[in-house]
Amino acid sequence: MNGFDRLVWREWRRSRTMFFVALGIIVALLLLVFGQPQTPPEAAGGEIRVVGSMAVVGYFASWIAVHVSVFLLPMIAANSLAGERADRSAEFIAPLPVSRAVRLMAKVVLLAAVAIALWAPMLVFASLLRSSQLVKADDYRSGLELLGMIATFAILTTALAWLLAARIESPVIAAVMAIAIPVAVPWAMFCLQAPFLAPASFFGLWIDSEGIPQPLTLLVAAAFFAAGSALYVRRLE
Amino acid sequence: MNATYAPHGQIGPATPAPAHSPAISIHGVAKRFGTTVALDDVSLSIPTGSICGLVGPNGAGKTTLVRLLLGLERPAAGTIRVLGLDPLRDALALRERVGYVPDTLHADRWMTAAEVLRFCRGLRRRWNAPVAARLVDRLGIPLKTRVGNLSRGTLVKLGLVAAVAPEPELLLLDEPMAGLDPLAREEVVETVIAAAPERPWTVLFSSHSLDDVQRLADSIAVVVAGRLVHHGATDDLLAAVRRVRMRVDDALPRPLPAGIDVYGSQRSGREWTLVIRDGSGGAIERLRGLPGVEVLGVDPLSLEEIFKHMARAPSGRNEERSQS
Repeated sequence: MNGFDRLVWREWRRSRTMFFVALGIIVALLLLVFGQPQTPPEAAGGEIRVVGSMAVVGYFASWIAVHVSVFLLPMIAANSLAGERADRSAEFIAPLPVSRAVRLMAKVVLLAAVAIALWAPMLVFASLLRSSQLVKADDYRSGLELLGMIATFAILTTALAWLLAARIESPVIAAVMAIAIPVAVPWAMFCLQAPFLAPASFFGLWIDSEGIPQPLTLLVAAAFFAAGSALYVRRLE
Repeated sequence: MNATYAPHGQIGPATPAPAHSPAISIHGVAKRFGTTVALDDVSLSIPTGSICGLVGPNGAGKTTLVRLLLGLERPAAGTIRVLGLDPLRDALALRERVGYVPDTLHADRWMTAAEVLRFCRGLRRRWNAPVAARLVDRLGIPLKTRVGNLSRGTLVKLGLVAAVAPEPELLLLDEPMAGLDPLAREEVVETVIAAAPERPWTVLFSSHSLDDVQRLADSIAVVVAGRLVHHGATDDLLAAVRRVRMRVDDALPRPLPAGIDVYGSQRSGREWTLVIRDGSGGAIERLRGLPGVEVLGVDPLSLEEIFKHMARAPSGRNEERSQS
C-alpha cells in the first residue's frame, strides 16, 4: 500500500462502524418485511418468479439504502472532517509529509465509494425487475426519478455537513445541522407562507420540479463542497 | 534508500545538511493567539549536528516555537528557516526530513501500534525498517495493542520510533519526557543519545527536566513569557553564572559594573546574595573592587537553579529583589 491507500484505509476504518450499523438497519427492515410468507405475483412463474422475488427483495433493500444515504453520508462526511479534530488524530497526521489536499482527496474517495455502494444496487435491481418484466416502463422511469431526487437530497445534506464540519469541531453537531437545515428551511418557509415558494413538502423544495430545480440544488451542494474543501485545505492543525 | 548504518545499528541520514549552515535559523519571530503573545521577537540559530534543549515554564511558548518550526503555525512576524527551507512554503519537503515527537501521540485510538508504524511508513519516502524493528524491540512496544490501551510512556516511545525510523536530519521533541516514570524517561534519553554520536542529526527538544537537558544538550535555549532570554552552550552557562555572597557596608552600588548581569538578589541585613552572569569574565574581581563591598563566597549553581532565576526575572537581567 502506498500513502494514499493508507489514508483511504484510515478513512474507511474511521467510518466503517457507521456503515455497518446502516447495513444492519437495512437487513433488519428487510427481515421485518420479507421475514414472513409472501404471495408471489401471479403473473410470474418458474425461473422468472425466483429472479423476480430476488429482484423485489433487492430492490426494496436498495430503496432503503438510498433513503439511509440521506443520513449516513452526512454523518460520514462530518466524522471525516470534524471527527479527526475532535479526537485530535488530525494532529497526528499534520506533521507527516502529506498535503492536506491529498488527505482531502482520500476523504472524498471514501465518501464517493460509500455513496456508490448505497446507490448502485438500486440501479441493478431496478434493471433486473425491468428485465423480468415485473415493472412497467413508466414505473421503472418514475422509480429512477425518485432515486435521483433522494440522491440529490443526500448530496445536499452531505455537502452541507462537509462545509459545517470544516468549521465545527463536533461531528455530531455538524451532521445533525446538515440534515436538519435543509428540512427546516422549507418548513419555515412553508410556515411563513412565503409567496414566492410553494413547497409540496418539507424537503421536496430541494428536489421537486415545483420547488428549486434539481440542477440548482446540485449546484448549491457543489458550492458547499467547494467551500468546505477550501476551508479544510487552508486550515492548520 | 541510502541509509548509513553504524556498527551498533544506529542510523544516519542519507543526505545530511551541510555542517556549516544552521539547521534552524529564526529571526525576530512573533506569534500571537488573539491578544495573547505566545512568542515575541525570538531569534535563534542552532548549528547542524548539535543538540539543543529548549526550556521554559509552562506556557512560555516552547510548543508554539516547535510548531512554528514544523509549519503547523503561521508566525505573525519574522522569518524561519529549517534545514534551509521555509516551514510554510516548503512544508512537505521539510516534513520529509524532520522527525517530530509530540508530548502525546494523538494517533487514532483504534489503530494498533503496528498499524501506526505501517501508516507512518506509507507516508514516508524513507523508512529504515530494521532500525524501527530494533527500536520496537528495545523499547518493548507491544505492536498488537491499540493506541487507546497504550500507556503514556509507551505512546512516547511509539512516537519516537515513528520519528526516528525515517532517518530525519532534524529531530524535534516537544516535552517527550513529561509525565514519564524515571525508567521510561531513561529509555527515551538513551534512544536519543544512542543515535546521536554516529550521526550528524540535529535535535531540538523541549523539556522541564533540567537533568535531561544537562545530560543531552550541547546548548540550552531558555524561553520565558514568549521571549528567548538565553541561548548558549550549556557548559558556558554553568561556568558563567555564580552565586556571590557579599557584605556591603552601605548601599549596594548602582549601577553595577558593566558586564555583570544580575539574575536575582537577596538581602539580609548587610549581607547580599547576588546571582550573576559574568558575561565578559572578571566579574568577581570587579565586585571585589567596589568600595565598601566584601565578597564572602562564590558558589556555582546547578542548571535547575539557574533556570529558576532566569524564569523569575523575565527580562533576564539586572532585576533585583530585596528580602530584608
